[in-house]
Amino acid sequence: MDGLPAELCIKIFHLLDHQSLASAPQVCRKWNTLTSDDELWRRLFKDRWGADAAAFYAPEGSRSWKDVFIVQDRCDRYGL
Amino acid sequence: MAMAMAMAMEAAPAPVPLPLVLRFRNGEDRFALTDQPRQLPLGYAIDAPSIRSARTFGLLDEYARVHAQHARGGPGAVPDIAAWDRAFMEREVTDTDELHDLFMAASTLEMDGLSVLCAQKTADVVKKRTVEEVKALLGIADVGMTPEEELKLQHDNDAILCLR
Repeated sequence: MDGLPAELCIKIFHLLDHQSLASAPQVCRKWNTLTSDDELWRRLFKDRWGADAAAFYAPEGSRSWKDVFIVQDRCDRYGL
Repeated sequence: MAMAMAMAMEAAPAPVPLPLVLRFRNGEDRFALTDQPRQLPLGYAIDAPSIRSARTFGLLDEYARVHAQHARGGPGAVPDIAAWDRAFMEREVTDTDELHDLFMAASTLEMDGLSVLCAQKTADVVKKRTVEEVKALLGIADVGMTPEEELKLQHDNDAILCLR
């Protein structure tokens, strides 16, 4: 399966949850690169916390949606 | 070796997927149907490197025929197409090479329904499995990263999942 083109890998990643996406980067370099996709993590964020929260917490500057997701996930688990 | 195919469209009543004549490089003709015929290049050869075996082509053909029949309705059509899809994938796609080939072929031919089934099957393999298991199951031998890079990713992963 390492021969799959990038667009098909992305298609698979959209069907995964955030735990699977967190460990997927270790599978191979290509997965490492592709699982950082902003659209992937933006969608996961929106599905979990809603569109309003997604608009409010949208990353600025060089931050990524993955970073925003990770921070919000920690807040849910430990509180602010 | 890549296979090249020439195609000729035949008239058929909408909205049934149009029949497709595939002429392989060796001169052999096959008939198939596609979900999105208008996007296919009419009369031009297209490269389909993923259709490397008669088995893969046979699966594409079976999928296309059953779905076309279901769209037409009538006594021969399967009553529950979603159940048929699940049974088809369970019965026919039993190793990762076949999954890979079918996924590539379905996507190349823009058979979106079948492509989604392949993506879902792959995703199901990945979910709830360790990294080592995923590598083994998907036949990924060349990670392409140094041990240091892998270790850093392990730390990142643990941080995300709060495992330490």
